[in-house]
Amino acid sequence: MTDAGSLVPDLLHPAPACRLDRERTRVALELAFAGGPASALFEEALSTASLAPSRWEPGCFAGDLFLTRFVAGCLKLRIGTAELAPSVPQLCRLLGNPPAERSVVEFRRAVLGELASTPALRSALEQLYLHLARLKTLLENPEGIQDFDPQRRQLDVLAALKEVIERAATGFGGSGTGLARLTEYGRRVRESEPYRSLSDLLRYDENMATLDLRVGIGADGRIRGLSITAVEEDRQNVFSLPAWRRWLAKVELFARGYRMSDGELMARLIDAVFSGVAHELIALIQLHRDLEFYLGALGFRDAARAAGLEMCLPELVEASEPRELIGLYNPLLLMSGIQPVPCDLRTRTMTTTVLVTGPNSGGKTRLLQSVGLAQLLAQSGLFIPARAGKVALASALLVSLIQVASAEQAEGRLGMELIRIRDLFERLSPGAMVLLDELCSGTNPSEGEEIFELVVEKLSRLEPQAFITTHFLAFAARLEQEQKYDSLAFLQVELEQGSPTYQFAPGVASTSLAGQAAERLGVTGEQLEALVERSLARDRGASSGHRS
Amino acid sequence: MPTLLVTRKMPRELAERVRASVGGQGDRRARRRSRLTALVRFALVVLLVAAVTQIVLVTRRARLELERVRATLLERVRSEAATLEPEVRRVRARVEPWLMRFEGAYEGDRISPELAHEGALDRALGRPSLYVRGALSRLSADAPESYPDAFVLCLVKPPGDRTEKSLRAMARAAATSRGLEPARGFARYGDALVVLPLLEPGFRARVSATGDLAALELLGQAFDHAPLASARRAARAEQLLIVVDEPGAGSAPSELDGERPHPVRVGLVDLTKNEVLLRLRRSVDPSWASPAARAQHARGMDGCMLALDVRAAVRDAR
Repeated sequence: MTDAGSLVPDLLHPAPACRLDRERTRVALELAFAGGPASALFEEALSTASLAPSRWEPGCFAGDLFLTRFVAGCLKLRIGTAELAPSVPQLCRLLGNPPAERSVVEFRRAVLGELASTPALRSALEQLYLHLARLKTLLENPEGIQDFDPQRRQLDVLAALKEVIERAATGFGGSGTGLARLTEYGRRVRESEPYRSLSDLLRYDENMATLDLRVGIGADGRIRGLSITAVEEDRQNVFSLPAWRRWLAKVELFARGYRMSDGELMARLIDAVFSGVAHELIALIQLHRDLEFYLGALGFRDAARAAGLEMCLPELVEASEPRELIGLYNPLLLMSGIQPVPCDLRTRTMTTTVLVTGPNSGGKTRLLQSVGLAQLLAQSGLFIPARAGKVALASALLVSLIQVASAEQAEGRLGMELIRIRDLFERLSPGAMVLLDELCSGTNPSEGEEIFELVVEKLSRLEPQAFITTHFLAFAARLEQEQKYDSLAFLQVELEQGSPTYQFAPGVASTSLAGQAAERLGVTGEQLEALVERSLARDRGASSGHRS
Repeated sequence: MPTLLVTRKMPRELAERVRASVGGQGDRRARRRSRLTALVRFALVVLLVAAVTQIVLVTRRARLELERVRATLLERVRSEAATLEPEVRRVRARVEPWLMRFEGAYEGDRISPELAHEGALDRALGRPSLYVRGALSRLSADAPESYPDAFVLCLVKPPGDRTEKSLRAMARAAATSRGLEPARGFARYGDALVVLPLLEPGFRARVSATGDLAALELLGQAFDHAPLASARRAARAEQLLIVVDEPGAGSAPSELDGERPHPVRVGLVDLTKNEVLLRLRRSVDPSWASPAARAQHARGMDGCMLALDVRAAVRDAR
């Protein structure tokens, strides 16, 4: 009886399945193999592939977390000394729709954990990926580089496919996780008739006959003669035909409307072999993406380690348990070439709403990004940017970090803020993670604080994992003092000699250090006075010039 | 649909796929187009094979016909050449020296005693003979062109008298083949020589080398029209009758047919014994005849008169 895992080497889901549109992909594959336009064969097939059920909406966080840039910059595949770009749209799609079921997350974590702890398996997976990438390149033939000899290209595709199957069948024998599916799949295909026919055809192509040559060398060292001492045909090969029958077969093909050539003869055999293995190729398109998913995560960890940072598979806990993110850092900084400063983040429970206060440029927004990306990665079953951590799966992720004014917006800044709040509550589900930057910063503090408190009060009923930054320091201090809401916790940016350390400690900050920021950016009284004087002097000069 | 690409060693599934690949898998329209192309190509192949076969058959048939015609012709040529060629060569070898001898200085009149007997001349003239006549200076050249004439006719069947009327009748009779019937025992030397090239190995080599049936048929026609019977008669001649016209007097008038007064040598040679039976030298002069007769038959009447002179000389020699 055939196991489902041997039919499709699905590495992302405990219940293996081909998630592509089989019929459409098969037609596209046949077209690509025949040499038609197929530069986006894999992308198009995967863009319509189904994913594990997810409750997350990428629109609620992808833009604020710079998901595309994160995937492109951090999830690069590092194989040996090479650094390969993954398929960004596909990985964004995967990360943006993390599985709702914990079993799927656990399945992926097991695979990734095994790869991280067993170098041999990782190496085998990398080699498998490289051969798959070669197969993809040959099929998509992006720049038409092999158009001059389409048949050679087709044979190369078949040879690459054979290599992939061999690698899958032999490289993952000791695996105790989903990787074992590769072995099952490889072995099943290897024992099938289409694969044997493929092997026979490649052998026929490479070694239809063997000539033994005798080379005569003259006294001056030059070749003086060549003679054939023996000719041996591979008669055992299923494709082997006597010369007279090959000739008659060519005549037959001509009569049937084909070209009369050895090439056409081979083309028919290639076509017959490919039609036998085409359905196996469909599964490999899906596998290509799955491998990028894991190898991207491993490559990310390699890059972090190279920068002296750690990554881990966090412990998955219930929402009632304490949150611990030890050595948490922002991968977007790492990607930009800035050495991030890790910090530790602890809360009493996961459902605590954390108000973060502190000076401008103190790392509050970066902290929110780090928490959001860590949640996203953990939820996808990948390493998080922290040395250790405990994470509870969230039902959704809502991030609002960037407030960009646009020409089309109908409301002023307060109006937009209120719309943001309304939108948040419309999308919010119990147990979701909420990351809000500078809530209610667009109106006067007294009225803003009222709305702020209203949001905090209503949020507590949905028990979200919420992180909110604010510059309403007095208001935050009053909430801390009153202890009116049990679910509220307070973090402040640590300062050392008046400068932020990018660490966070319990409590509410006493200053936003706006003066320092103003001085740093040239907005002190003296600097502004100097600018005014210069403007007036310029104006006086222009007036006298007109009079003269 | 079976195909030659499928081998017995192929698994059944692969064989099916090869058949499907060869049979075409496109949509109905593409399949129909493919079938149409296949049909056209098949028809072309059949036509080509038929044309090639036809060409091969026709060529083979033509070659066989050529060989048959060639073999037949060669067989005929060989058969004729086997007997006739040696005979012709033999008679030429016998005749040529006598022609040269009669071209030389006249050796004097001679009548063999064999002819002196009553009726000996007529018996001698009844044997198979060759007749040649020519000018003294070009006897060898004129000899092959010689035909029996009034001299031969009158020698074999002399007229009763020497009147103009009788001689004129003989001359007129000698102008027709029926009239020459009494002289049929005299063959043409030219008939023997004209067939010689057809009997030599060169002709057979041409027949063997010719690859064109039309050319071969032309050669066959040439052989068919050759006077082989006459040549055989000439080759088997036992006697040679020679008439040599010496140049006449330059001042004498010439008749319309070129005849004029001139000496004539007559010889009868026994080719089997290689000896002269008769050698005479007489003069002819057409002036004795009426102008009307001379205008038409001067040469014939002179020839006939000469024949009567020869017979008279033989009679006188008894």
